[in-house]
Amino acid sequence: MIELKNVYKLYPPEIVALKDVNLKIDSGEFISLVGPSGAGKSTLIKLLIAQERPTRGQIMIGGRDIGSLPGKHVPYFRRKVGVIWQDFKLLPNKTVFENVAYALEVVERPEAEINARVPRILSLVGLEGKEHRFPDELSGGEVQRTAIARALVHEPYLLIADEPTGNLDPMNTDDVINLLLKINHMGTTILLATHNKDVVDNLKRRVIVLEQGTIVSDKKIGKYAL
Amino acid sequence: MVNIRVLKNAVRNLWRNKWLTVATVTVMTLTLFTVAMFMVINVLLSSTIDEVKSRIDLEVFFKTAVTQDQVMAVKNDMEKNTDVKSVKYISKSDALATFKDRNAQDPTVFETITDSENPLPQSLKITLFQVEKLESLNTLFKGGRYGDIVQKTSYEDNRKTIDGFINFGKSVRAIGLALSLIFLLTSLIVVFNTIRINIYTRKDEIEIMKLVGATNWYIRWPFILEGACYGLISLVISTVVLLIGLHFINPYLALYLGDFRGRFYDYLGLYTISIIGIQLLISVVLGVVSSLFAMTRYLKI
Repeated sequence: MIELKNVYKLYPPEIVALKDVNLKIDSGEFISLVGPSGAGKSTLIKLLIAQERPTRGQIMIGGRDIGSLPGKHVPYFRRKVGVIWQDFKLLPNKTVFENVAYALEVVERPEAEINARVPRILSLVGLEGKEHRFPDELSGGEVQRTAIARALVHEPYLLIADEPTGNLDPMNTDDVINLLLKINHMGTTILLATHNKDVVDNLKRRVIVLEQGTIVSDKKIGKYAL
Repeated sequence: MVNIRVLKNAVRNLWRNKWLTVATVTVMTLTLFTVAMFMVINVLLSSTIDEVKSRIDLEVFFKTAVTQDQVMAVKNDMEKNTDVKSVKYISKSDALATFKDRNAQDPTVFETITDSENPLPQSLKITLFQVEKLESLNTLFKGGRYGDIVQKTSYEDNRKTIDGFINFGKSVRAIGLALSLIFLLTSLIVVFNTIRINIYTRKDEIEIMKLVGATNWYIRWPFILEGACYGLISLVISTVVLLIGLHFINPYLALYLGDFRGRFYDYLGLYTISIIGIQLLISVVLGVVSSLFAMTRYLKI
């Protein structure tokens, strides 16, 4: 489903963020992407959501080369890829419901569809009864679950999680990872970029290690090893 | 593209940044008001010029040696001329009577002229149907057919008055244009800056919109509408202020213009649509163009 072929990303004059990255991800996989800070994880994620374009190489997602996607097609592509971040990126002046609904509003979905779809997603992530809370009235895990709900509302085939547990305590971390596993079970491919050794080791799933812009290890059932 | 939700967002942004909105609208209102005011002054001047032109008749003063019969012959000729509306003969004594009347308060002038030594010339006062014919008629008396018996005509004096008005009008127009341009530029910068600030304050929201797949135009529209809103609000304020202003200066205008006022209001009526139209154009284009500028600069999509 996703294939990177000889992908380079250079930031002139001298930063080489990614060097000859080759990678193949099948539909339904749960992949952990690990590596020290500055290894190129964030760059890789930016390339996967068409926030940046590769200097060289191809990024094939669903049969299309994302690297050469015309600018006006990018928004439509992004609706098929959900992303969550360490800093959640929720709007503080909107409630849980409104934050999730927002993702549908900005792509101009009708009100009726929004009112039907949002509660369903919120119950999937376990936030029933908290629809009208504001982000600062929630626990860290609940905030991240709201973000996950927002990422899932377009029913993406790929969910990218960029350090989703970076700001969470161990209990909330388990909470979020379990939710990701549940989503993966339902068929969504998940790419989890993380620093958390325990999370990666417990998952017992495929692990890709990135160092200085190159893939140094890619194991079917890997461990966090740097 | 532009649905209720987008419109609602734009209005909410205006409200959220109330003070920024107030400042922006104030500058734009000043700009529009300046433009409108100079347009009104322009109308005032051109109506005055046209009114003066329409009232001008040609006075022909004859040389002292010319007899009354000769003058009457010219009068007959003139009455046959199809351009001429009316001809009035003013004899030496008529001229003296008018002169005495005018200088009744000034005995020194009054006493220098007596009936026996009347230096005032005979004259004809010729009124035309069309003021444009004035110049060609004047040539008859200046070197033309009657050149020998005519001392002077009023044409040159009147010409000077009208030219004076026209030149005054030109200066006013130039000043108006310069001031309007300065204000326009200021508004452009202020709206640009306001939109820039709004983009900055909403940068988290914009980032999220982009990441959940909002189209570029969905993100841009609120800012364009915001710019247009500043323009429209300013237009309404400026027009209302202008109308109230005209209402209040009306009595003074009556004093200054006298019976010229009719023509001024006729002209103003004719130009109202243009004045409002130009303001509308300026306000909307100004608002939209500055926000487009700000977006290309600060809204990276």
